[in-house]
Amino acid sequence: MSLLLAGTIPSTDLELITGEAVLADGKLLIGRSSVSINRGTAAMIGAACAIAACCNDEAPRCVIGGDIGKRMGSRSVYRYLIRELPRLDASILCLHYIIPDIALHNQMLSSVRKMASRPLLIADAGFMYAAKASGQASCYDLFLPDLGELAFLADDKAMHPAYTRGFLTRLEDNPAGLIERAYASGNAARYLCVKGRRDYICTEGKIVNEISSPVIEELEPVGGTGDTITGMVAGLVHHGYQLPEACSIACSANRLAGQMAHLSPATQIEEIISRIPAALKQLVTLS
Amino acid sequence: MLKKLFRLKDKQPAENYEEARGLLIYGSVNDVIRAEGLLKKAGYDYIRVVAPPPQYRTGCDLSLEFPLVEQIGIVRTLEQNSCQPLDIINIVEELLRPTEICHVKDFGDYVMVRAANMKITFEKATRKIVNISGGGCSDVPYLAAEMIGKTLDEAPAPRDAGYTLCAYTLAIAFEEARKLSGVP
Repeated sequence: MSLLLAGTIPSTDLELITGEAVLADGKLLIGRSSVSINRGTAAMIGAACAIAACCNDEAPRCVIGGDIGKRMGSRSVYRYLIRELPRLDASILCLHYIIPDIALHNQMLSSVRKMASRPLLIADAGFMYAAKASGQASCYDLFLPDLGELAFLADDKAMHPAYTRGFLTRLEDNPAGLIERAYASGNAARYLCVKGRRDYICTEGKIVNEISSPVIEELEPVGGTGDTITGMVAGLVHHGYQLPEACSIACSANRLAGQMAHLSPATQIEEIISRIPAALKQLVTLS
Repeated sequence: MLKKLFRLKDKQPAENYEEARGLLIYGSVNDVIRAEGLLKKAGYDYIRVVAPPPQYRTGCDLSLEFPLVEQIGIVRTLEQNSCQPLDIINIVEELLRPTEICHVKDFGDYVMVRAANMKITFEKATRKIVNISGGGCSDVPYLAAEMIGKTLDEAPAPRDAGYTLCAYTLAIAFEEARKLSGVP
């Protein structure tokens, strides 16, 4: 099993970096580059690295583009994946922050189909938006939306969460209804991990687990708390857990790490990532 | 540009001239935000930001809808500011508009404002932005780094500093946060 994480980080200096990622002194080291773990893809990778270290697993490999929204770094990531995936032996592919580009996304999926064995496909953030907008959501194994993004998945007309129609955003107090709509319209992956005040783990249209304790209201405003769940899920699946179980453990660990960090709405994500190992130890015995 | 005007009229004459609508197509969200600002400043308050039709979609796009009767003036304003669209088409179908609905959550000393997938949190006493979360486009972590730690008065506006639909949505939450905090 090998894990490949892909996405962008906010940088104008680097176009593309690839290599194994490790956490050292609160920073991510990828190849020869040092990356700060503020939020987004860097937080996702940080959480996956924390899991790999706890489990004594090999470090995740990464493909990272530098992009502040001008698309160059995003295109570099898409093009790397389009070119290299048929030659790579990644068994889990976790796709994260990127500027949605339907054409490049579809080329990337074509490259996935050329791989010797199909990897498990996990998408969150911009890659999840591109997957849904391209009408290819059902090719994916796991999406990890928050409630606003779940309303987007439930909207068969919206191509981006910004266009989610008002009547659906008003249904956010009925996540089960939105989950049902997302699956019925073919805009959900095989599994969903819906992140919110109560987390919902769904398997092929059915809610199979709900996680609501400990209640940490302050997780919602802290940037990166959804990204850490995604990274932990990727790391736990890499270790050998099945997707629903990995989602359940990651959602619980995120809450516990938040509790240990005594969160306030002003807390930054590094405080959560540093507590993932302790949180994980409370939940599972790792072999 | 004149060719575009004639092509437009030849192609699909409007049945109801008063209600006929056109669409300005740009290559990036950033260009649309700039054009919207220029046109609103010039008095075209009724232009609307909408999703482009399917043949123009890449996955993260905006376009500008306008009444066709105003086309000459609108195009002139844009040309004078070197902000010409890539294309101008006329439309008949209703296009989706970006959300303007904001949800507000009070955390005691802090307030979080959410628009669609974007959230911004500020401290009530100081108006300082303490967190930005949500989103999926590449400029969100960049905007967060630029805005967190600054007050709502001094932080760069996502409409100016961002490039994507997530930035556009964050701008809606940011503007609501400014209103709530009493920033004029």
